[in-house]
Amino acid sequence: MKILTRQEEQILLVIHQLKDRAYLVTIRERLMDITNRDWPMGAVYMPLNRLHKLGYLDARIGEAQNRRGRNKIKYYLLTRLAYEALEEILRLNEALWADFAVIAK
Amino acid sequence: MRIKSKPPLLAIWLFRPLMPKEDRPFLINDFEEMFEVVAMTEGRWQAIIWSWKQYIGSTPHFLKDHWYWSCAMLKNLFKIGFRNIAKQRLSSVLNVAGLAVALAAAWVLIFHVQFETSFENWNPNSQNVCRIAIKSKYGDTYRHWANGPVLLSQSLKEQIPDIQDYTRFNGMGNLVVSAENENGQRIQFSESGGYFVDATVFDLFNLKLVSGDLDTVFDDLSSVVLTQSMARRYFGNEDPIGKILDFEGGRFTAIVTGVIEDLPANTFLSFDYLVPMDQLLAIFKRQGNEAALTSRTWKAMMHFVKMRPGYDQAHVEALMVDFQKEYHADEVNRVETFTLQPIQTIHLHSKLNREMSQNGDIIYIYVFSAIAIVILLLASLNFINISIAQSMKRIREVGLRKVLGAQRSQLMGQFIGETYLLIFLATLLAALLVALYIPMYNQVTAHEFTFSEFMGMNQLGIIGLVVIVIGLLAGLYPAFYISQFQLSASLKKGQTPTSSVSKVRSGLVIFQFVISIFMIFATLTISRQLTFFKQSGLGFEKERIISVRLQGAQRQAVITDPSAFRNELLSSPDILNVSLVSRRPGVNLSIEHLRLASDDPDADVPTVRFLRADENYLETLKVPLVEGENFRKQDGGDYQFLLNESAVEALGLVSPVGKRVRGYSGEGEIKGIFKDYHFESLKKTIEPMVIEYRSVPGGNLLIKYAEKKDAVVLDYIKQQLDTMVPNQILNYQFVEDHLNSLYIQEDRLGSLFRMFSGLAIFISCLGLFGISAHYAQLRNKEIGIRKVMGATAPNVVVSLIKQYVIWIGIANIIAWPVAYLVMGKWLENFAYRISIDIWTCLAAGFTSLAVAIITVTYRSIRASLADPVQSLRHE
Repeated sequence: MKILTRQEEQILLVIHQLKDRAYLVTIRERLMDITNRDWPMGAVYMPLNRLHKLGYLDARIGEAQNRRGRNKIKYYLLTRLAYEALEEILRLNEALWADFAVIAK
Repeated sequence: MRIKSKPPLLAIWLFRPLMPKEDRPFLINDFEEMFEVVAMTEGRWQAIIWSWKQYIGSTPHFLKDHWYWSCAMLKNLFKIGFRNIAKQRLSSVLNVAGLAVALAAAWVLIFHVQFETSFENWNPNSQNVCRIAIKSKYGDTYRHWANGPVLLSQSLKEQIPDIQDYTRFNGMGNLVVSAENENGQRIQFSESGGYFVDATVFDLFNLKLVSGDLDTVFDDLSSVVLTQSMARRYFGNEDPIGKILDFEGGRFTAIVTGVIEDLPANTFLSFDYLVPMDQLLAIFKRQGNEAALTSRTWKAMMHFVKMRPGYDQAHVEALMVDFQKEYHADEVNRVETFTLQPIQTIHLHSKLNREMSQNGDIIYIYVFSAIAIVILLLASLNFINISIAQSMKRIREVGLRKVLGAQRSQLMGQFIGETYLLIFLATLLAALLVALYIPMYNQVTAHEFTFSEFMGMNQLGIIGLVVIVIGLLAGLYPAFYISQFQLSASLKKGQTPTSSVSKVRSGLVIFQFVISIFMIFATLTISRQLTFFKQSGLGFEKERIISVRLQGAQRQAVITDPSAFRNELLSSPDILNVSLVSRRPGVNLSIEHLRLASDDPDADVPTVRFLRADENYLETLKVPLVEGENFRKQDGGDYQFLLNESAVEALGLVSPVGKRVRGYSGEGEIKGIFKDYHFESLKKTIEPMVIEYRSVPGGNLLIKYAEKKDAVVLDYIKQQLDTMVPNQILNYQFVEDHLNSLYIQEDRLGSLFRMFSGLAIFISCLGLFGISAHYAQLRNKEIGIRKVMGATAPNVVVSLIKQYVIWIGIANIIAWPVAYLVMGKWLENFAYRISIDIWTCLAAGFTSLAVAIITVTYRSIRASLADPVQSLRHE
């Protein structure tokens, strides 16, 4: 399986957290909250587009919630492939970090 | 209700093109939403600043995204392109190979033409430096000289203000030069590249000193400036400054005061070392040869003048007409015209007597350019043709792609992309072919070019342009034509547009064969003329003669007692005859005058060619006497002359034998008349020729020897010379080899035409092969029906081939008269030539026919053997 970049991993996890409300604006807001730095919209869009085209994300065109006058919004959803990839990363991280606490002390 | 604040239009307008098309509306919506949030929380001005920050921050990401996906697209295109090439393997290979070979040929030709036209471009003064050319009238004929009297350019400079400076070149001839090398050994070479020059030469020709001081380099009369390669030849890596060169075994010496860079390949200049002109003038004075300095007719040396920038050539030449009248005021009969030859024109346009080096010819530049254009034209037409034919087969693929949602622009991109893929492969292959051909090119043209020189910006630029144009022509037509096909039409069976394309293609094949037949015709004519040059009788026996150039101490030793040395040589049973002459057969003879002693010494008489020889000359060459007798052997005393038949006629002599005549050296008697023989190349008519008797005429030995004894005889000569003066170079040549080398230009042309006619045939066959496949396919059903009706396979083959035979016939009928006229014109360059006969036409016709039939037979036989059930089944 293809290893994802740190950025892509973060984006996938944020989309997972946002459930069915994940689109560029919300993803970006959440990313900025978590990482505590500014993400230009292009910096969010580029990995998003790549993940979409590689099959990690499904897209759904939908109406905006609670907003009038906005109709077209592209929502993103994780695919099976994305969950598999995230599980793989988790497994890998656990293995890598396994005895970290012991050595550090 | 909330007041909506919109982001500035300018930001959106700038943002839009960055965003990928498919996601653009969403992205803009998202952008507006974010802007609104910022505007609400932080105010409108903050939001505007925020939107610009977004723009700047996002741009690189959007660009990266764009590049990333276009590369992925390209990868896909390549994949499909390669699959298509692989699917139509044979025709793809032929297509690429044909284009590659033609590109390689054009590449070499373009390089050659660019090189030949780049002469003197390296010299920043090339616009302003001219050579003085002189046209002189003798009787009814004119001669054109590159040389003029010693003081000519000096006098011109005094008269004509546009002339700023001048320099003169006087050749020193063939000399033995020796020096002590770095190991203390004495080494010697025979050098023919020495010139007396004025110090201004360094300025006029932009010669760069590698070592030595430009201001003082010629201060000493006995100084010499070497080229780098000559310096290396004698002194290796040592510093040559201050070293001493010895000329002709101690006749004189010179001190090396400077070293200049080697001359570039693209110059008519040709020298290895330079000596101050003042030295030569001093020698004249010492010898009391005032006449040499004051003569206004002696063609002594080459003159170059540096003109004021922006000078008017016609104006200066008009001034020179007045100058000439005054200059030759004392010689009433002298008719001369001085002209300026800009040095840039010398290499391609100048054919004077006494040129410095073998010049090129502008005609060949035209010929080569024409060949390059024709070959490129043939090959690119072929390429375009095959590309179109191949794309026709893919109409259904295009239809399917459209069904699957391909855009028209994508389809066009794919066609053009695939075409460029093929062209790119062909160009790479062409570069490889060029690399393989360079050694051969260097051999033919006697240059030393490297691969990187062939890949210069000039060549790559032209080749690149050609390739781009071919690609556009070959790719655009199918791209537009096919991608506009209606879906339903393209998916229907048997929609292969044929008739108009077929007509164009057959016309093309005929045109290609016209060119091929012309090339075969030309090649045959050139090689027949060359054989004629080399094999026809010259009026003397050129076989089994060695000419030896005696030099330095060797020469001194031999000419002190020539007959003793001659007897020494003749004591060998293998040596049949020995003669001493001033010049070998095939070398230009000096141009002089011979008059009846009773004539006015100033009378205008035709020039004659002079040779000085001893009494054995005619016998060594086996030239028969027609009247009178041979020279009497004598020392000193009266002069003796022998004339050839042409000289008798030109001078209008009646019963010439016994008449008293006067030449430059003195007065004497005509002893006899010998039969005309070709003392120069067969390109020129036999001129009037006079042999003047000298017991010691010069430094050339002609030695006639017995059959198959060349090695033995050479050894013997060397041994004999060594016993007199040890450790000398034997500078020899077989007369026959030398005579053959006179036709080197024609030889080169011949090998070039051989190669390019092969190429033209190859390319034409590719075209023919393609079209034969096309026709075999078109007539598939017809053949099936014929076979069902009872035709045999041979019947079918004949009916298929008949068409091509007619085409070749038409091509021949067009090509013959053109070739006959052009080659007839070429042959007119030569005084003695073959005549073009019907056999040349038939040979060219037969060759083209045979090649064509072989090419089409494969497809025709395959078509004729096909099972008719297969071809008729679909109906």
